[in-house]
Amino acid sequence: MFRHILLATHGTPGAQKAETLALDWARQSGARLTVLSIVNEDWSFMTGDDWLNTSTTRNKFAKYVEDQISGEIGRLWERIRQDFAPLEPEFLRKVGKPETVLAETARELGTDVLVVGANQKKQAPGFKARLKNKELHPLLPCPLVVAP
Amino acid sequence: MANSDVGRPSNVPLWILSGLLLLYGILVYSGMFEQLFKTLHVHKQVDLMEAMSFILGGVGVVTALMRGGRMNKPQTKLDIFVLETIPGILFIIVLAMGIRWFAEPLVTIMSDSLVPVLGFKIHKVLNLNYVVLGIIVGIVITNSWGIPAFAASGVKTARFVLKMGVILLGARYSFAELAKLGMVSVWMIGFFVLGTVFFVLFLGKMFRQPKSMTGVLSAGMGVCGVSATVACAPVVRARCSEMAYTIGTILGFGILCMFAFPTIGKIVGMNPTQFGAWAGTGILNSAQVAAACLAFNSVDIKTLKVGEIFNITRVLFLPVIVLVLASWYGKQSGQKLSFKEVVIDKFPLFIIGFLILFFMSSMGVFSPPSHYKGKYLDFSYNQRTEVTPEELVVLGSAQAAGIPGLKAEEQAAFNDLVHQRQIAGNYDERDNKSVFDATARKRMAALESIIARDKGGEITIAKDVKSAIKHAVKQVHKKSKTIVTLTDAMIWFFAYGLIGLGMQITRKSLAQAGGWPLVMGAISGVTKATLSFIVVMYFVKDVVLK
Repeated sequence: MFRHILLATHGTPGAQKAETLALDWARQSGARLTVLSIVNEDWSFMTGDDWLNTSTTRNKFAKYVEDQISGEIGRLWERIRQDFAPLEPEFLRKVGKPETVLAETARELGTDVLVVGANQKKQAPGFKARLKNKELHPLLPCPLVVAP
Repeated sequence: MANSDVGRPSNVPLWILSGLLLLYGILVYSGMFEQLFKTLHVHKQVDLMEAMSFILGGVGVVTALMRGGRMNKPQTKLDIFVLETIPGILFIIVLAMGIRWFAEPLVTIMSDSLVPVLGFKIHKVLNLNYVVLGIIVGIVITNSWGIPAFAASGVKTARFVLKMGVILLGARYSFAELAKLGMVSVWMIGFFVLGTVFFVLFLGKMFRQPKSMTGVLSAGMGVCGVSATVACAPVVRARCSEMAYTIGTILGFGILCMFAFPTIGKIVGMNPTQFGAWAGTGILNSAQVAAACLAFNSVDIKTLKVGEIFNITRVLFLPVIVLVLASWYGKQSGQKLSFKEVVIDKFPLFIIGFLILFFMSSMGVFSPPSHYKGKYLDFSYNQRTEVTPEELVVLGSAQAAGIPGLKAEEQAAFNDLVHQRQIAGNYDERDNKSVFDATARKRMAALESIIARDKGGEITIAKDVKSAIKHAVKQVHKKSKTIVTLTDAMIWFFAYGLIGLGMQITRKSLAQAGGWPLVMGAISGVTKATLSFIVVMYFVKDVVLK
């Protein structure tokens, strides 16, 4: 059925449904599975209108946020690795605008399908950003599946 | 992350900006806009317009040529710190010029013309001066088209320029003001900063929020908004979602305050000291304090002076709060911070610059020593300090008719004014400077007393007489040219900095607000703003501001 599935997840309840669906399909079809974690580029603006701190403090904050995001992604990947065993998914981490990154990655990897979670009422943890279908659909090179 | 590279964008926008500046300079120089400038009431600024247009246009052309020669070459420090930042700097300055000389006057004219329909001046109610307009323009640009790639590096200079504005403000304080305001601000800020921090920690416990969440939120709500969040997040080990929640809440609340405070302040009739104290205590973000003070009064910087002292006091509390939170959080995690991490790294260096300028000013570097910084009294006997012939006639008639209720010293000073046509010592005593000066000061005090008693309703003097006395008093107040230049530069620095900071406020950052942090932030923010309002209205009186 599928040769290569691209799963985009940030670990929220909605995304976990996408994880389950992608796992089932990968098991059924023996397809390669790539798990994509996108670091929202808007984090770069999250120092907001801070103007008082020294560059040392600001750099320390940026490093701290990077470490936190890496930690969150690391924990997510570890959970998926365990949940998906004995499947051996590949993991990919990219920074940028979610819609653009998704389309570019699908194109680069030549995936057959992109699986994402549905919008949820509450999102946690991480950056609150929703995929915009209007922006994503024209860019996608493959079918998109939204896990119910 | 926060310091991502921006590459080397195209040179075309810089050529266009430079060309526009030079063209504008030429058109202003030709006098083509004279009538338009008179209509907009900016005709007195023509010299500045020409100078800024030609200098900045020239800088832009030179930069464009240098950048052109360095395209496709590895970036050096000269590129990163100078050549790549200048396009963005010019972009913000052009926006500031457009806002100060066109947008603000146009808004005023339109607002005036809407009075018959609305019944009030909308620009007064919404405080739509160049500061507020600048921030709005910054926010609109960043949330609609986004910051243009060519300007991205330059926009980051806004932080530095705002600090320069505060440093220049240091030259405008007197020892007496700083001492008195400093004492009031230490008490108020100390109470409200620490009070809010502990209140948020209490709310966090009540709503059963994680310690890292309440820690980072308490710093943001208590001290200085996003800046405190940036400083404290690593200390309390805040998670990404918690930082995002906090920043969203603080930005949203801060923007609301920035627009609401000046309007409320005017409605209840606050004086500059009261409003500066309230804004400096109640508004979370330091840049928004400056913006609210300039929105309350952008012509006279009294409000800004008070607000900034409160602001600086609050900033000085930042290391204290980091220490408090570190020990509060560290009890659980066993984490220890060094003196360098808490005090040296968090200490805002620009405050030293502010103090240096204050001391230089106090030592008389910018204006005659022992006088008020920027203004001094010139009692010399000359034509320049005379009242006009028309005013002399008014004063003479009032003297002949008599002003009921004047005290003896006031009547004497009034007679002397009519006799000498100016406030000065007695001509015969001009060789003895101290006697001459003492006589003049006595006369000035008596004339100021007449004005004050009229204002208080103790006596009644005719409007034209009052105007003539005021003019006579004003004639002896001289402004230091250096201080005037520094103040003008400071106003431009604030305009520039606030446009740039407006560009840092993204809709997506604001959209992060939500959940319990929003509830806790709203409760603590509103409580602080309300309590500080009550304290200011009842306990803070006007201080000597000149």
